[in-house]
Amino acid sequence: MFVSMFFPVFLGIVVVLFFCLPVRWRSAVLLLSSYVFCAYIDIRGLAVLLSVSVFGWAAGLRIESMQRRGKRGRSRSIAVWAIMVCVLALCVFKYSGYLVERLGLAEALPESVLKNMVMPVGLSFYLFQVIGYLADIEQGKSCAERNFWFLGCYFAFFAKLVSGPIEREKDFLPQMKRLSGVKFGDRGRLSTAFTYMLWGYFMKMVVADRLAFLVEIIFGGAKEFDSLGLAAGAFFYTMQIYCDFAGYSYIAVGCARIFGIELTQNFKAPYQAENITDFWRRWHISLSSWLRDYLYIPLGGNRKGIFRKCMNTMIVFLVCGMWHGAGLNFVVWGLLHGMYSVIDYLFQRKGRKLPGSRLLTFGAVAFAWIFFRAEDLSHALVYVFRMLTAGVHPMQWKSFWIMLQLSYAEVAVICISIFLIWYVDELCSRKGMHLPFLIQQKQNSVRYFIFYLLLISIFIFGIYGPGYHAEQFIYMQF
Amino acid sequence: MRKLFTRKNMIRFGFVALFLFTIYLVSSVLSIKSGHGIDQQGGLYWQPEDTIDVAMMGSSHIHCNVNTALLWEEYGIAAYDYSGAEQPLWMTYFYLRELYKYQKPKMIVLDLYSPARFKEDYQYKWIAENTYGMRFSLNKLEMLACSVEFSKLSRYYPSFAVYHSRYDDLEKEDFENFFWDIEDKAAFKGYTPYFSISPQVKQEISEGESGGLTPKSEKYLRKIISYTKEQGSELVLMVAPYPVTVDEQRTYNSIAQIAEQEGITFIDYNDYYDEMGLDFERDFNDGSHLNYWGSCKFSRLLGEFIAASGKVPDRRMQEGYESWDYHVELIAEELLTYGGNNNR
Repeated sequence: MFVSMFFPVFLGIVVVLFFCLPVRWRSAVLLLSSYVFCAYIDIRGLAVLLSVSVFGWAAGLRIESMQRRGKRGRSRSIAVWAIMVCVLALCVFKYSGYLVERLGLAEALPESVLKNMVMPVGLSFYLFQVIGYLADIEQGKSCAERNFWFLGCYFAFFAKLVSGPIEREKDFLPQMKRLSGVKFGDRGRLSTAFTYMLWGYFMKMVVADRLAFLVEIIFGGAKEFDSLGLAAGAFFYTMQIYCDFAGYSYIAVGCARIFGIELTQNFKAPYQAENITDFWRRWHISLSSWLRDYLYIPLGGNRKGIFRKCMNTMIVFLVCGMWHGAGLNFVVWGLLHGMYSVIDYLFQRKGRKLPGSRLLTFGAVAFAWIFFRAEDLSHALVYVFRMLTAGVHPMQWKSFWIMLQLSYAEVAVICISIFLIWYVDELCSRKGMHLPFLIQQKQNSVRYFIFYLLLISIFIFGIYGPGYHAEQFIYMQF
Repeated sequence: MRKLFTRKNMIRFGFVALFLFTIYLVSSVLSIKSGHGIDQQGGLYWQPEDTIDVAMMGSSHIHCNVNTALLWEEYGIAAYDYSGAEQPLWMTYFYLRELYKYQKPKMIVLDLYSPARFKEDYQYKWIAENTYGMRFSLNKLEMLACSVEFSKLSRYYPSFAVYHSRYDDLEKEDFENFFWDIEDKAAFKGYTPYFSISPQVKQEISEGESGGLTPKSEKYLRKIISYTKEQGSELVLMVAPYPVTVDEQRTYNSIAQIAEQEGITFIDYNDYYDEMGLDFERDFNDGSHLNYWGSCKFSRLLGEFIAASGKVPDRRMQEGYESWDYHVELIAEELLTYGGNNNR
């Protein structure tokens, strides 16, 4: 959606309405525009979003009401029941289509039923927010929000609707209540918002969407490539999924900043991680912290001994895999990361550090991504088997070049852009701050020159226009 | 005012200007160049203002068949082939509106092959050729709205979205498209001759019936007639010579009736093969277009008619028309290069 022609027009209209209408209408502007945004993508998705929002709002008030009356047991059972409904809804939408296909029932069911099995946009993300919200109320960590405009916006805000981040109520709602103080003329805020969006579009349009073509060919024809080609495919996908998701996240953060809302940073140079534990503190931070707070810790965390900690870790990553998609390949991906985390924990317990840990971590993550990207588990296993056994055949490289429809210009763009991503991540990791804030510290001429280069790169090398179809944001399907 | 011209703002303006200039350069290089309509459309903007006396409009039967170099050399007619491949009449109408932003032609010669041959209300095969050369304007948006179904609009607009990734296919001519190349660009008058020979069968059609003009084509034909009258230009409807079919002849008969109603000159040059000395064995490039030698014969006859009308002055030796002299030289060079053994 962010790379469609609709989005700049939509954003422009929302910005004008937000800053021109009376300040007391700002939350309503954001909420209604979010519903328009959702309806534009999928009208059925809007119906589901509204239902979930009203359900979450009503359940939260009910839980709090029971607590005020001293009926702790009742409030807990309502919370559990409400959360189970959310989990059930998520499972039905996520897995029904998969089960229907696996059981061969697709032809027996009417078209309208099959259509309704398609998962509504953003469901995985806002349902997790609802679950977290209700759990926090039940545990007394936060109060139920009476104002539906604010809470509805928390669930539906268009900048984060499609692919997160999974915000916490305690972080987001106070910002909604301070919207009246947001001034359009705050140049520092607008400058960083612009930088976030520019960098996000660069990652998405120049890098991710470009690599998507190559990955599609390699993963679709794994039998045609040698080990090096398949390893390259895994590497390209590793970069593609990062640039796609992080690019989207930066655009979302930038959009939200225009309205004075700070969203959670979802990525902190994940491929600079020293070990797998560090990786999950840098990758999809909002999801990993949500799983830690609402699954890992309630299961006992690391408070019940080593064996339970390892079990809990495996369970969390199993759920993580299942959350990402319906298919055994996602389960294997999750379990691989669970296994990595357990091994890493055991190594760290012994005070040992593996040599080349950064490269090893990158390699382990890239290997797991094969399962994430493959069509299904059998395709993933074929890919891995060929990658490990096919050998390197330089005589075939010319045909790979032709199959991938590469030109010297394209190779140059890919190499330079991947290097740039790595360099920026390395720089940001060392300085401990994100790119927009790094750029803010520079002189005006340097800052504008960077904007100029990024804009020109996007205009020329971005994947858009006829003949290309803007690759769906990968995480949107979740 | 002092607040506007602070150092910070000057840097901002500077980078905005740099960005816009870069986009201009990049766009000039990457834009698609094609002799099927894009060059003809884009070439209009390089013409010296108010110098085109006769605009030849319509399909590829114009830019392949109407030899603007011969018209200049033999009659002093400052003509421009402002046409596109299979251009439907509704696009021709918007072309006309674009033309009058920069030129005030005394005569418009409109070829009618497209409405006779193509009957669909939306024709996509050559629409890109008829669109990408036009500058962005409200007129262009209106043309697209009329020519393209809404669901397909993003395939053709904005143009930069189409050609921005051409960096792999660049040729020498892509770097000759800047404002400092104006002399060469102005010497292009739309005419793109073919040099092959393909013998054709001479058709003897005697079809008195009329019909086959679609409502959309008729609507825009009448708009073209009305618009040229408003602008004070003489409109001539014509059919360039080619092997006609019975169905196409019926459409021409319909248009001839409309021309008569509106008091517009209509000439079917398929009735004048002998007068122009057209040789069906040697003067055609393919089943639809004349080659260079055929275009000379046809253009000579057409030029005779235009010169005899008294409406178009002889511009030879006049200041401001040097680009037509240069145009003649370029066509002569092209003939030497591509005319080869077929040269007569």
